[in-house]
Amino acid sequence: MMIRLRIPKQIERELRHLLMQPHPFAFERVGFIFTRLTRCGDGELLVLVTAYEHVPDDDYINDPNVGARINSAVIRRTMQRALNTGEGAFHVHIHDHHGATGPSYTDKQELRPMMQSIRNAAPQSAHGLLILSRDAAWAEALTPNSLQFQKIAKISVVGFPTEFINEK
Amino acid sequence: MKNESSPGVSERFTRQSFLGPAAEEKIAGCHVGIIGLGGGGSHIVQQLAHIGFSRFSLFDNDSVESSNLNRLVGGTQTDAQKSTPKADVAARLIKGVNLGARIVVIKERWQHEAERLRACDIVFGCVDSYAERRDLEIATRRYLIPYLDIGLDVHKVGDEPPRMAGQVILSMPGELCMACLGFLTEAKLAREAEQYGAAGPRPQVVWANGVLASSAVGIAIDLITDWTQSLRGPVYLSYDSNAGTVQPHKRLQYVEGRVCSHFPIAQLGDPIFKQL
Repeated sequence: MMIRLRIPKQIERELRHLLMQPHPFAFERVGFIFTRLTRCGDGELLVLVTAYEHVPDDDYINDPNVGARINSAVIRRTMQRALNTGEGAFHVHIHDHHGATGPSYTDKQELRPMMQSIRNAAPQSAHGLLILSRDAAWAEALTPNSLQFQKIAKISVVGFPTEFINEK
Repeated sequence: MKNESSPGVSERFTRQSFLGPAAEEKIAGCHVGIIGLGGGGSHIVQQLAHIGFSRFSLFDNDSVESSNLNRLVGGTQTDAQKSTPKADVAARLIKGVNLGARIVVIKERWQHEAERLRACDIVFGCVDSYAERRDLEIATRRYLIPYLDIGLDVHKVGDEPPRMAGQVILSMPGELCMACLGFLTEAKLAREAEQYGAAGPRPQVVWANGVLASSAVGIAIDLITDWTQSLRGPVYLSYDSNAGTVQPHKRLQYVEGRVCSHFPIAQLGDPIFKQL
């Protein structure tokens, strides 16, 4: 089943700007986008990004072994929002390079289980990971009733200009 | 066939390589939807096929009649005799230019296949009524799809010669909508509802449709290739056929800096019930 993801340009600009700010001790910043899921085309799924929540400085844990480690308060807040609103949640961070990107070993080992937990709060939505490079993106989603993450086939940033950023 | 003088650009697109090194790929990867495949939509389909678009969803529940042949690009006398669906004429036009194009033909009103509309990256609306424009804008905004609207009308005032005028509007999610731009108003919608069924056929001519369709296609190309690097805000073009001009609508000067309150980004997706 093909999955598409669309981000309004305003939200993409905002999260890129915030994620590129230096942190007092973490090597990278992270946040969560919130989404709505719908059907499109011939049995395809469409994930629409409606908001971005940045992780505040104080919610990072100092761990030199990873780019960024966040505390449990952030995860509880994200779960609560998903539970209250029925929205999906995607962990988002930037790999600071140009061209195609994808998850590191740590991303796969640590972020996937976290997103599986968050999914319990809103199992009717899609949850997953979004990784941006400077000019491209990679994403995967756990859709309702699915046991495995599935790569998102098309990521569009809708605005001036409209871009299809996973096809680098 | 590849072009040795411009690596990465196919031979057939050499003359439009100024659009940028990745333009061919962006255009081919963009799924376009066209609602209404009569006078305006048939022009748009033809141009998109020539430019290199290869994914189409075509929506029209109407068939060709003799009265369409003054403006239906690709329509033939045989189509009128056989009442060929307009969507089939459009698909044939595309296949004549690009055999590899992937085309979804929907011979229904678009509202009956709304999920298929959501798969499109850009939607062109070539419909007759204000109410249908409003419905299309709502449907495309909800699913984050840029919507390009074209329309043409002929007015007769007193003893003056008829005046033919039209518009091209880009309704971009997050930006000003057709109501904000003053194009869709309650008064227009109410007047149209009062005249429902009594308006008769709207005047349509091939050359004016061509101007509007070309303008809309140009905006779509700029939107996805960013070749002018200047398309950054609302588009509302006003066409005066009598004067032979297409120019930014005068209303644009009064909406600068305004923010659309009709379609908040937080309300994307299917409508839902919220507990009070």
